[in-house]
Order: sequence, then structure tokens, then C-alpha cells
Amino acid sequence: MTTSHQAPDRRGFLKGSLLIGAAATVPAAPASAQSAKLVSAGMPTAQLAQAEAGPVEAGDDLEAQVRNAGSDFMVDLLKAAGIDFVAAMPGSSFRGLQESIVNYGGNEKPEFIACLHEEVSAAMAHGYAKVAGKPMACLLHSNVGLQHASMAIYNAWCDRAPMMVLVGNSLDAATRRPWVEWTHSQTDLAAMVRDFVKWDDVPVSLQHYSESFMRGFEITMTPPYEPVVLVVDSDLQEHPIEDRSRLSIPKRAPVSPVGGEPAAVRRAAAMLLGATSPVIVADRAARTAAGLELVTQLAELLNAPVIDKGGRLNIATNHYLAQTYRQRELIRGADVVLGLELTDIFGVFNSMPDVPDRVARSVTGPGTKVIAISANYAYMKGNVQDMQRYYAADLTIGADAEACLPQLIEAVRSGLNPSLKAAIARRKAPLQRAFEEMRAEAANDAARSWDASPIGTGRMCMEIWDQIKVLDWALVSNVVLASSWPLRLWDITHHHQYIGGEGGYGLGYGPPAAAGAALAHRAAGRVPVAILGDGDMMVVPGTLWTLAHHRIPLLTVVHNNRAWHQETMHLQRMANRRNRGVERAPIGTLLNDPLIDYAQLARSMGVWAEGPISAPEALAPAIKRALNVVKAGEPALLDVVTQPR
Amino acid sequence: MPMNPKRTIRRLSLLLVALPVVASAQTKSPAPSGPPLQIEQGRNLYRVKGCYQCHGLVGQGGMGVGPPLAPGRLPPEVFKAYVRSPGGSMPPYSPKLLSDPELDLIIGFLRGLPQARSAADIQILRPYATSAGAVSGGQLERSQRRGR
Repeated sequence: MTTSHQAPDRRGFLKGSLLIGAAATVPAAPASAQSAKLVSAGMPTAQLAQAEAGPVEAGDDLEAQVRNAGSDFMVDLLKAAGIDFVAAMPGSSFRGLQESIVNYGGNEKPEFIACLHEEVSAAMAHGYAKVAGKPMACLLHSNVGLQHASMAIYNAWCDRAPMMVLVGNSLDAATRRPWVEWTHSQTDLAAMVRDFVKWDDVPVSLQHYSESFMRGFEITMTPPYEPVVLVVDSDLQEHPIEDRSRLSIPKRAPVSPVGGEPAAVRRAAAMLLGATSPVIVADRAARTAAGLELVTQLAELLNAPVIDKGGRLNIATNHYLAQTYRQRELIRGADVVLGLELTDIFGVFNSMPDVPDRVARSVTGPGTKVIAISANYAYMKGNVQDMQRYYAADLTIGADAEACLPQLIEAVRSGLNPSLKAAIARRKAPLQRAFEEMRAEAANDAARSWDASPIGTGRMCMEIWDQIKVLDWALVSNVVLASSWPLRLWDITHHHQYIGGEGGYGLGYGPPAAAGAALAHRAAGRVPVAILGDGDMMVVPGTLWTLAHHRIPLLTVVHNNRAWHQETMHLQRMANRRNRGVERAPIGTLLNDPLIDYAQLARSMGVWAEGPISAPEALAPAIKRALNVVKAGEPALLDVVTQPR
Repeated sequence: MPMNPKRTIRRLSLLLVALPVVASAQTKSPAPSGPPLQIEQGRNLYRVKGCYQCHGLVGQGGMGVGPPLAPGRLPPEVFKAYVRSPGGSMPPYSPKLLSDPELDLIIGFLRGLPQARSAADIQILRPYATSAGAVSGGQLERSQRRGR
């Protein structure tokens, strides 16, 4: 029996194969004008086209063979879209596509990245995209694989990261083998992640797949970037292409991000020019390196300090206007605040401590005006609540901040006059002094536990900085749980040197996202560094194997405070609030009995490692040895026993 | 007149914000911290009662979780009042959970901690320590970030 939507009977398709094979000795002519455009968009080479519809060799068992599998065409699409890597833990629902990637596609652009858990596959794609500026694909095994990956997809959703999620499935119940192909099939597979992906589809033919693949690619790459899901039917992968000449690959059609409505932009410029103490707060504003330049340009034009919420690097940390750690006083003293792609705008202007009555209190001064620019105003979903609490700004512009900034800069520039320029220039010296004081304060804070053992997080981060600052380096982890020392004291000057954090604050992001980012940095020959929590490491320890297996250079430093430290504090808060005492708060929150040996864990998977390191004076030599390994193109791990934060 | 707990907390919070100047002066000549045995008892209590989770094992504080406590940044009476009725997200320690004598031992331990090093004395941190006006510890009281 055959499926109605795709497969001819076996004899029929073998005949087709023979015909195609005979034709393949000459380069295949494009079947349509549309497909003719594809050569520049990554159309398969003549050799690939020949392999896809290759001749049958004498002696082959014709009855058992498929020469021109649908999944070969799916590889053409991956190549056409410029996808360099596909991360996956093997699964039978996509065996056809996996085989095509490694054989038909030559395992090159895309290369198959072997993972030990689907959460790793998806989080690698998340981290990769933030460095590469384009998506990679993660290939998941039907409902079981998608469930494993779902948390990482959620993080990417919250973090506005592009990702092509391809999920195997068996649509046709009549061709499923008994037992496992039934339990690993689902009628509406994408439903389980639909609340936190931008778009999904279930193609039922190869041409449908082709168009949906390209549609999905453009959707995921249109700000706000978000993951998209394509369900990849196993019959579609495994059955032969009926008639290649009837298939085409659409050309790439990038979508321009939405800019600001001109009148609203002019109004925003007027508000900023009329301010005496303007402040810029940016979160995921700088999608690209150009975005960082634009935020900096606007800030300099106005001498407006920037509070970087750290979703991406929005301004160099050593720029005198990068005043993130003066947030409280800056917001209190601001008369106009410009918010750029703020996920939590309410939280910028209100405080709500974790106390029983949960009353929000405004932290702005009287009369502060707020301008908010974000692509999120035009795109939101209802079930997941990452949109945060409602906040009514004085001027709200539904636009992609990076796309809107050139307009705003131009409007500000055209509104400047000599008197305004002089007033703005007078702000510079006090802001420079404030910046220097802010950094000196941070350095003194780092000094407080300099000689402590377990090692202070300030010492740990600054010993790393002392050695990487002369290299072409990049930080590929969130560092909030290490008291944000790198953001406070490292000179982070390039957009690719810091990529923000999880987005959804879901554990299991750190190691694989760092691995994905490191994979993207590998081509540029950079030295990536990840400072990862011990708890995060134990959610997805198998990432270490992927690093070793694929020779991905990355220095992993485990911030090993031997606890789910955040949760320990929560437990203490609960226990004392109930007047029961904190003594039992460590139950279920400490990771100390037995102690986990991260160096041994890493070595067991082929990663060079040292530790546990508790003595502060032992740290610098260990970092030096580890960096030598990374510079030689291999991953390395240091287990550093640390203070809680 | 009955105490208004919220008002008390607010007053103490304001006091705590105003205190770094007082505290930094005090660190120059810390009050006697007690004999070694009592300091050790204080250190033990500081750990058992979970103070270190937010304020660090040497009282250095942690970004977004707890300000520095050492060495002896706050006058004892202010410290005690704050522990009983804290502001922000710090959990309250009632006398049942932490007696006055125990609190005294913790204060003694914190006062006995060595003076923190200056960034200017540390080679890696020296380039940042150019601004004489910087007051250590201020940053750590800011940017409260709620956890998972």
C-alpha cells in the first residue's frame, strides 16, 4: 500500500529513478524561471544534483533501493538557505534526512552536530544564532524529542532568537510500523510548542515543504526573531522524488524590519532634545553590530547615559555613557527615558521586592516621560506571560528599535541648534566622572573577597579577564549569577563579545548555548569563554561530549558554589517568613553530598579539565593552561569552587 | 503607641541607605570583636543561619542579593534592628530564630574580619581604582533581581 499524497508504487518510482539517472549525465536544466534564480541562493551543485537522482549501477538490488529520496531535496533547501549546522540527537523519525545530510550533502554546510539530548540541540541553535546572526537548525525526534527540546525553544522565544526547528513525524497512520512509530507520532505535533514559536507548518508534499521551509526561514529572521517549527513527515523524507523537474526552491526573500512612523519619531526626538537628563535603557535593541553603533551614536548625540539590561550588548562597557550600574539614581533623576526593546519595561520604572504584600512602587522622579520603542508591541501571544506587566508609556512606537534608530538619530540631529549642542556638551564631564566612580566602586567591591577561599566570583572573573584581554575573545554565557563582574569590569566592546542570557531564565541553557556560540566563533578563530553555574552544568552535562566530539574550542569555567544557590535563598525567605528558621533550607538546594567533580566529569567525555580549584592563587596558572588548550582548538574546563555569588 | 511595621522598615531602609559613609568611617577603627572562641562561634552561626548565602562567606555581599556586611559596616544597634525587621527581600530573623546573644556573636564575627583590600593594591584591579570618590559596596545594594 502506498500513501495517497506522495509515493508511487515501488516499481513506478524505480522506473522514474532509472529515467532520472539516465538524464543525469548532463547538467540538469532548471525547470522553471523561479528555480533558475536559485543558483545564487545556494542551489545544489551539478554533482549534488547528480547524486540526488543518480544512475543505478549494475549489480545493485533495484527492488530494495531508493535513489532519489525526498530528504535529499530537503538538504538542498538547507543549503539554499545557508544553514551551516544541524544539531540533533538521532531519532528514527528523521533518519531519512539525517542520512541525506551526511551522505548526499557530504556533511558539509550543513554539518551534522551530534548531541546527547534534544535540549542541547535546541539551546546550541539558540546560542549559535546570537553570534552568527543567522539560524542553524535543530532536528528533533517527533513528540519525545520535541518535549525534550521544548524548554530550550522557550528560552529562545523569550530571547528573540531565530531558529529552524525541524521535527520528524509519521503522518500517514496506514504506513506506520506497529508500536513505536505510533507512540512517536502526533496529529498536531507543533501544538505542544505553538505558544512559544512564531509559526509552524506540516508540509504534505515536497513542494509544500520547499515553500514552507523558505517561508519559515524568512519568518524566523524577521524581527522580532523567534523560532519556527516545520514538521517533517517521514514518508516525505524516505519516499523518492516523483518528478524533480516539478520541484523548485523559492529564492530568499528577506523581510525588512519595521521602522517607526515618521511623526512619532519626530515627537520622540523633540522629547529627547527637550530633556535635561535623558536616559536610554536598552535590552535587545542591538540585534547586530550595527545596532550597537546606533545606540552609541544616539547616546553620544544627546550625552544620555545608557542602562544596558544585557539582552544583547548595546553599548561598549568601557564607554563613559555605559552606566548600567547607576540605574537607580539615573532613573530617579531622569526627565525623559527612552526604552529600546525592553522586555520588562514595568520593572525598569517600578520596584516590587519579594515580600508578602507585593506592592509595586514607582522609582521614577515626578514628571518623568517615557518613550518606548519595540517590535514586541506588534507581536505578542497570550498564554506564555513573557510580555511582563502592562506599562503605559507616554509615547509608544511599534517598531524594531534597530531599524528605527537611524530615523531617530536623524530627527535628533536635525533638531539640534548651537544652544542645545552647548547644553548637551556640558553633560559630558559629570557623566565621565560618574562612569569612573562606578567602575572604581565595582573594583573595590571585587577586592572585598580577593583572597577568600572558596574563591570570590570577582577574583575568578578578573583573573580570566587578565588573560583573555589580549586575545580575540568572546563571552558566551550569562553572568548575572556571578554578580555580573564581566559586565561591570571587562572592556566588552564588540557586539559579538557578549550575547546576553537565557531569555526565559530556564536552566539548561548555559552549556549548550555556549557550545553553539563557540561553534559560531570557531570560524573566526576566536577564544570563547563561558562562566557557567554548577546547577546549569548538571542539567545538560552531555554538552561536554559534543564539544569534544566536534573539537569546538571553548573555555568553560564552572562557577561551582555547590548549590542551587538562588533556590537556597528562596527557601530561607520562606522559612523565616514562617518563623521556622533556615537550618533545613539546604535540603534539596545544596549540591554538596556527594560533591560533584566537574573536572572528572569533563575528562570522562574527552574534555581537558582541571579542578576543583579552591585556592585563589592557583587560579591564574590553571587559566593559562586551559587557554593554551583552547587556543589549540580544543575545549577545556576549569572547576572553580566559589563563593555563592 | 504601637509600632507601624511598614514605617519601621522604611525608616530602617532609609537609614541603611544613608549609612555607608558612617560605616566606611567605622571600618577604619572597628569596635572590638571579642575573643577568638566567640568569633569562631559567630562564624559558625553566620553559616548555619544562612547569612552567607546572600552576603558571602567573608561578608563581601553579592550583586542583587545582599549588600556587604564586613567589616563592621553598620553600628550594632542598626544591624540588629534591621535583622529583626528588614526591608527589601531579606527574610526577617525573629528572636526565636536568632537570639540576641547569637546576633551579638555574628556581629562580633563580622567586626573581626580583616579590613578588605583596596582595589588600588591589587594589580589586576588597579587600572579601575582611579576615582577617589568611589564608595565600595554601594553597587551591591542596587539592581535587585528576583530569582526563578
